[in-house]
Amino acid sequence: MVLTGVSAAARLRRRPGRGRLAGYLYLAPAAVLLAAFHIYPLFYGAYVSLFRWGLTREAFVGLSNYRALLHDADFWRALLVTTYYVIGVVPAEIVLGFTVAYLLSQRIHGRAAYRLVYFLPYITSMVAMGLVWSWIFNANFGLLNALLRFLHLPTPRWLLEPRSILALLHFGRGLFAGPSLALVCVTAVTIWYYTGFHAVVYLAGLTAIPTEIHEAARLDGAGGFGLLRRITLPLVSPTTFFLAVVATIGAVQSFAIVYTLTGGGVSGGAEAGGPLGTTRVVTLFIFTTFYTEFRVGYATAAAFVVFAILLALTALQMRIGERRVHYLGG
Amino acid sequence: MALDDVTRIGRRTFLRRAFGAAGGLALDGWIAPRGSGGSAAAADAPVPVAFWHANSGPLGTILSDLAGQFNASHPTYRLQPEFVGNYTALNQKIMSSVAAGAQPDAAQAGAYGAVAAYLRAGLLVPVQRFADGPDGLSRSSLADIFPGFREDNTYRVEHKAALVSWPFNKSVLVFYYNGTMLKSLGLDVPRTWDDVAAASEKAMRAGAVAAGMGWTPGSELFAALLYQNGGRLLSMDDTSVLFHAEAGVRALAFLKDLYDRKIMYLTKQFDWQNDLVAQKICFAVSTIVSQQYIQQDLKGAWDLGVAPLPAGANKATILFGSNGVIFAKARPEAQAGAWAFFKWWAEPEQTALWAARSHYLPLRRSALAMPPMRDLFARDPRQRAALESLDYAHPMPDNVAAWVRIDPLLQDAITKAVVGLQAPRDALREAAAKANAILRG
Repeated sequence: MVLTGVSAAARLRRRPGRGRLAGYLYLAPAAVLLAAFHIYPLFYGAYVSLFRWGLTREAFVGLSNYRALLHDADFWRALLVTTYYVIGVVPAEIVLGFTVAYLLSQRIHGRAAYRLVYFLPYITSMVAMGLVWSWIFNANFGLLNALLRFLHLPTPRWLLEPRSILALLHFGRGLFAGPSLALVCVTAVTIWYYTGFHAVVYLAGLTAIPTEIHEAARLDGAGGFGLLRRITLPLVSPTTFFLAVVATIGAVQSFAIVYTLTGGGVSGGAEAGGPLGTTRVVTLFIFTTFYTEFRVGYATAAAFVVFAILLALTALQMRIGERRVHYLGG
Repeated sequence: MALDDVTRIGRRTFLRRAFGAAGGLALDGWIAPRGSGGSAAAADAPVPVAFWHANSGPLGTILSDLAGQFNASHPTYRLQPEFVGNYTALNQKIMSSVAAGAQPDAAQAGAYGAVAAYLRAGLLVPVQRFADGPDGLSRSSLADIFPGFREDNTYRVEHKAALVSWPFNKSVLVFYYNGTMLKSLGLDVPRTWDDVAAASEKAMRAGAVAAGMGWTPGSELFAALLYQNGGRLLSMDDTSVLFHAEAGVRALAFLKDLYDRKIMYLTKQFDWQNDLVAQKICFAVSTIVSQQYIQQDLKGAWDLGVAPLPAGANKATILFGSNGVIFAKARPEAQAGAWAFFKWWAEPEQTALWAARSHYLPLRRSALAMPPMRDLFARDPRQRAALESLDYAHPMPDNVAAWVRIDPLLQDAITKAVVGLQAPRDALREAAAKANAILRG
């Protein structure tokens, strides 16, 4: 017998329990995956963080791991490094991403080629890219220093330099000196890598703006910078908001770029985050605490603290951002 | 008819059977221990021994060949070597297998404090138990193993020193030089650090190189210099660090001096290796295993020399490499199989064969008289350099569980002092204070 859509719907209406069951069944695959790979590990991680846990469970310590983190200078330093990194990366990616997208949305020759060029870094293997940039930044025989030497300019030690730019210029000391030159290099490479992605998302946002709005604004006398400021930027604000949230989460969770550029892969990853820990972002702190020092409970507690910070940060972004976002037709 | 049988079963039955089959497969693959199991195995079937290792490429091939020889000569066991990635991946996989309760029977345990961590977690059965057992080692056989390798595998177990792991692939810090360049400049192979400084300056003045040496800061070269100055990293009872004593300050001041005089520059990871091949430097310090990698990159462009590490007030160098461990969760038969393999691996014939093919070191002295080693020395006399160092080689204190947290502190102190951010004495003293706090727990 062939069931028509109408008769099947009629049967489901007669037996509402069946419809609900079908709904649950449709949800089940995703729910099972989420439960197995996200929700269960989350609760298990919370459980692990309450123990002194090396390779195996040792003793219940309650919140001691969290209390110890509060007094761990290395953890605070990793948070500070992460803060520098996020502040360096997120605004630059958004501004550059938008600028590139805006230029690429204009009618220019070779637009498709430019789009490809800007997006190319994003589809390159992060590890391969990290190794190439390591060579460019090589303090002794790298491309960048060869160029500087040719121009008779000083040759910094780039990824090997633990001092900040301010300190190198004899301003600022200690915590207030700002990020190390090595971290600035890592930040620059991250921006270079992700700008293409941001540009593509912005391009989609720009394309979604109806042309009539721009035309109407032009008829009303708007043009150039005014059009950009009063029409385009407000209308891509949902995209900016989305990218700000995603980029912040991504920057806090950054690992592969920092690991590759700063010496991961040697000594079980213990050397990553150098020089002198000035590029040791919080994910590297968690990684080395977990895999090199075998302090699983402590590393898990650190991961939960980062999770809480990220959650609070995202909630704050949502609260502030949503008020400033203009949705078309909303 | 089969098709009718299938179509006739109800949906519930079908789902029950399908989930049952899928679950069975999943449990079989995921939950069953990766080590030896198989209660259904026939009583006379060889006992499988799962052995995880980190030897890729040619090293993995040599290991597989030797495993085949072991299986042929020991029909009671079937050693199953399994490559699981580099040392970092191996550690990670062992950690995961511990969480899943499915460890292998035995594994290679890289440096970075892995054995100490496994021991502390109660995951290992100390090798001493087998060495003292009926299928153990005679006193003379144990004494034949190079002392540094024994020391490297000795841990405190219930307040007594015991062999916990077994030497597997071992190497030592040696000195590499550009033989062709030294010859053209009329220089001898440096025997002391003063010779290194003098030769470097001469090569730099001649415009042959940018610097004498490239070095990625690490604790091992510092430790070698510390031992050469008569110092120690840790106290005899491992309860406090001693690297900040006068011998350590002198060692660090010396490294800083090399850097300040531009005889040595700093590199990252293995960049020094490329610089040596490109003749931007003429000297380097690394393990004997680096020889084959440098040689491979050189393609015969110039003559690579290998010598024992230059001496300071005394001779000293540092041991590297990994060791083998046996897991406590393995069945007793599999543990016995793993021990049989380790013991066989260290016998003169096998260790000589491994060393000759892999460029790692033979584990015992009597192996030097074996044909594979004699052939190797005839073919490549440079290999003797590493062996000459073994009499005065020290292991890093990876057998102290806290060392894995102390080593980064020491590395930071070294970097700070060398680049001039802190005086050597202050940098070491600061690191020592933090290290002692870690040791006190």
